[in-house]
Amino acid sequence: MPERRSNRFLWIGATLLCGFVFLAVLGPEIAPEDADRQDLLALLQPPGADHWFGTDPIGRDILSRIIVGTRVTLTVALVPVALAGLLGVLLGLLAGYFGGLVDRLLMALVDLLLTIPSLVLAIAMVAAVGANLTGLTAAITLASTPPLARLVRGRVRELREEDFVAAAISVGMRQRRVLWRHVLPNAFSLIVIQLSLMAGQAVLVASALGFLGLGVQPPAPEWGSMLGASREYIEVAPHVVFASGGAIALLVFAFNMLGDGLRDWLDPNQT
Amino acid sequence: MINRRSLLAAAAASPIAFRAMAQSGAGGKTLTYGQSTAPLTLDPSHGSFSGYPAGYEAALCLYDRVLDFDAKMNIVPGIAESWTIAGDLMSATLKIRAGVKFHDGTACDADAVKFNLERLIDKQRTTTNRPLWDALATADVTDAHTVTIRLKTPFSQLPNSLAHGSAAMVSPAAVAKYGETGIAQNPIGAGPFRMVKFSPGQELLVEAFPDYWGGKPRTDQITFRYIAEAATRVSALRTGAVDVIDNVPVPLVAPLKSDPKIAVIAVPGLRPIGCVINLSRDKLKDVRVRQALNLAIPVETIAEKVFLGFARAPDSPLAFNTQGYHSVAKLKHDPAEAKALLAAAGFGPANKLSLTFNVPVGLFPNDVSVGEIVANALQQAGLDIQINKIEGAAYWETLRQDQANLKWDIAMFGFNPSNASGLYHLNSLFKSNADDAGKPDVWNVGRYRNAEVDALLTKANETAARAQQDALLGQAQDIIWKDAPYIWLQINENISAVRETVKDVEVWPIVFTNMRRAAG
Amino acid sequence: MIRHIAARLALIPVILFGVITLLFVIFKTIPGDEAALMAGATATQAEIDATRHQLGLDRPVLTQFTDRLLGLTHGDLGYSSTFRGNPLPRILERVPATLALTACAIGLTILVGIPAGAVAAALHDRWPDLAISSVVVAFLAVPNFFLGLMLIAAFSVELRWLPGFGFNGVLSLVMPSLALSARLIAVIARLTRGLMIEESRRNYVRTALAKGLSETRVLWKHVLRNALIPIITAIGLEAGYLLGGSVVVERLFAWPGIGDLLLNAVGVRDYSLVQGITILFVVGFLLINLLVEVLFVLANPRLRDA
Repeated sequence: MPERRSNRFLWIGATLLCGFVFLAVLGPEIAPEDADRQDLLALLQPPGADHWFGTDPIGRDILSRIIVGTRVTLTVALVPVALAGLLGVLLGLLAGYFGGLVDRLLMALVDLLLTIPSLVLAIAMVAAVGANLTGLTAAITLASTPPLARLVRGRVRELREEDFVAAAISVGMRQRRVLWRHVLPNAFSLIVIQLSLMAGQAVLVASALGFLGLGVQPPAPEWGSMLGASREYIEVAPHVVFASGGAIALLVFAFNMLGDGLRDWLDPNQT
Repeated sequence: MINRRSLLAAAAASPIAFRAMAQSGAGGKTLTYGQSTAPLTLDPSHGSFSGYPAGYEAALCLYDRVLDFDAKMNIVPGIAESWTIAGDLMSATLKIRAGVKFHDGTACDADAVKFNLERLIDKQRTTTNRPLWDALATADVTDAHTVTIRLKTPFSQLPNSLAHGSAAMVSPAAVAKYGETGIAQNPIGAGPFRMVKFSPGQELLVEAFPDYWGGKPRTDQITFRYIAEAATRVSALRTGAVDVIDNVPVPLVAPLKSDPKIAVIAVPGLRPIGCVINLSRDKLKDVRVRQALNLAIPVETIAEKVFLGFARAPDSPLAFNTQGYHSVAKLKHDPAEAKALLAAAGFGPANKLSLTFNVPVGLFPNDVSVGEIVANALQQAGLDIQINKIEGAAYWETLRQDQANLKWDIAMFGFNPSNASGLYHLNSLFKSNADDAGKPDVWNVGRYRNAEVDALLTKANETAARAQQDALLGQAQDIIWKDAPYIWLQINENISAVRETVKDVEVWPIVFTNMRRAAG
Repeated sequence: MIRHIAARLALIPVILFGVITLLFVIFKTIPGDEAALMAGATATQAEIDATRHQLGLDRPVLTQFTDRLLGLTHGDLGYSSTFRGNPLPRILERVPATLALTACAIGLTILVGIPAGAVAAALHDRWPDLAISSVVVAFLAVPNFFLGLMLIAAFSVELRWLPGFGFNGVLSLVMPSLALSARLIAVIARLTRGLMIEESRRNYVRTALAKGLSETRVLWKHVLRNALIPIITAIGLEAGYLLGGSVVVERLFAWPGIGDLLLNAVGVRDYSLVQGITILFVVGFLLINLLVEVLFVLANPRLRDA
């Protein structure tokens, strides 16, 4: 029974994400209209035959903007996740394997960052670096790295005690090789699960920043910014709000499903 | 659009109508005003009160000025019960009325007025609004109730300066007590309301000042509350959490109008919005390029569709009801001609004109939307546009920089002549800077320079007769329009809304929503 | 236990020191003239230089750092360009609003999330479980600002039942705390469900049921009690997301708390204010976790006398 349920999550998440990746790659080709095309005579049109999701406050087709915006939203969220993945794994490996002073210093820094709520940290970073792609990437990377570093460190410490590692060392294998060939592969499942869940978090943080007006520059169709820009029209034209909000929720849902499914499949002993 | 027209007609008559209806206002109520910006300091001599226009709106209640405006922007007596200007425009006499008291009990007499005028004349204290005060030389007390102002050069705009929001009279005793910087948080004026509690950036509570010379105000208490989000403001008005709101976004006017408990007040504004062109950039020095930029923008459509008719395309650098306005020419929308002009100036698909465009967020009506429309229109005309969205509060600083630090080619800007004077407006935006390399004198951030215009403006300053002054200003407007130092966009109506039981909230064309005569 | 708490409290200044250093480093490495920012847009060069001197920005960085630390020990957060002085009193003015919102959100989490999870566990794999689990999945994915917008549209605009802005009265707490707590409710409900299902498989439960104790009693008195500890710990860990989320919710509902102020500060690049509020958030997070630890010890009598 557990086997079947986890496969269902995995299947749903993976399919949805494939769909999103498809949209991200082929966005501009399959979108019914140019995402930047403004039809000033058709502002705030409700969903209809011409525009399936309606038009936004300056007459752009919302469906097209959502589709093309997949690329922007995914980039803003996933590049930092990839960076955080690299950084977090590196830090966790070093701290967990070598222990001692290295471990304490690195973990002190990580714990310090963990005391700052991630959105607040991201906002502070954006305040410092600026509301542009660099700032956003730095902000979300900084907010995502510490939890992963901690988890990887914990796992590596466990693995360090395992027999096969001791065996490898006794045979004279170099540290770097031990890390690469024995420790890392066994931490792999944990890392992959975490990255999926982190991706969902990152989408929420990125779209929150966009909603608050701290996101990428217009006219980029990032979903959070679209939602923020359409706020004041919620009364007269609620359709503008639902499309972007729903897209964000669906993407986060997909990542969560993927992460949960992977967790049930790869590491069923975790709570 | 029929609705809107009848609304406009009603609105044009409304300040008068409301006042006529209202003498019965029993007072004894608290009014809450949900503002779209928040006052951050309340020291009038610091120019823009940081927090514009909220600071001015609060000051209109807390302070009195020597002269005042009525709702139609006519200059009327304030603390001065009468004034005379000498024929040569080099001096003026103010008769201060008796019995005016500051909130701390001290008298607002000729000495107090002199003290305040000297504060305003002092360049070190008032760093903005210089065109309002630079012409003044001295202020002297001739007797207990008379002040004589002497000017350095003939200055026809003196009454406008004295009625300006920044010319608020502050208690000299308070300045002594709290110090120069303390006034910002402890505003002791002579206005109909005095401060109770001030949380900068959040809320200001004022109560009626019983010893006000004009009689006790009709409201007991006013709360100024900062509500940044328009939708939240509107929602608050509907539920009755606030009684007045300003800056109603155009799409929300219709739902508000349909609510019988709410009255919408829309008044044509005096603030033309446009994109100032950075004339220090070589690529923008050719007038054909600038004309092309203007031809590319569908201004009529923006006014009709984006602002639902609550805006008009300008036909002059000045807004329609500004003192001295002169209709120059209607704006054309011709993308083909725009492309032709650009080509003649050397730009085309092979050599694209690339511009950085600064757009503020939450400063001007629909600034981001209009900015995106403008960018798109320019792109259709073959340009490359990069938008730089900047938070409202930080925006002014990006405009008023040394020439070397300007990071924009075009930037959205709108100037509000808050003394309703076209001469003040043109002086602030189009008079040549003393030094283009440094910071602009006032708001000539684009570094516009035209000797003919300078001469006309100087002469207008020195001309007393309105008709002649207006003629000079008219000529200046013709020249400026032809030089196209701006991409002219639209002139918005100022839209506020009140609960229908509230009377006499004045919406001034200069963006301010004036609460001082309101009654609940 | 007192010693334990005291030890934890003593750790707080150390952590704050680290956070302050980190923030100081971040903000000092940004390009731009801090003095110009502080002096304001309309300042002349002379005024900017005067401001630079007045704020001590022309001294060596290390001196500035030590001064800032010393200042912080007696509550001086530096010079805020928004308030033209030490922003601490202004920030503290706004803390009650954020506190009320956060407390309400945590309250909702406990009152709604735990029972929901318990019900789902008790009836697991039947339709109430599926219903609750679907709602949980939805709340985990829906961004809090979107949820907040929809709540405003429904209950404030359409139905006019609730005020959509500001902090005035208990009713105005409802929507913001719902929007803020939704995700945490989902996390806790799911956690509770999982823990209780696992716990209920343990031997002592089977024994108790075999002995004839009512299922409800076993469920509530034993299974839930044992699951409480990890649940409370989880709330502590998730508190960070709650505090972060409060920033967005406050902006959306015009809630006069410190999150809203933080966003204003970012807008005008008032770094002192940003720093000050960030520090306060850290303090809040640490205090919540301390509270969690206290509850942890209280819930576990065995640890109480350690």
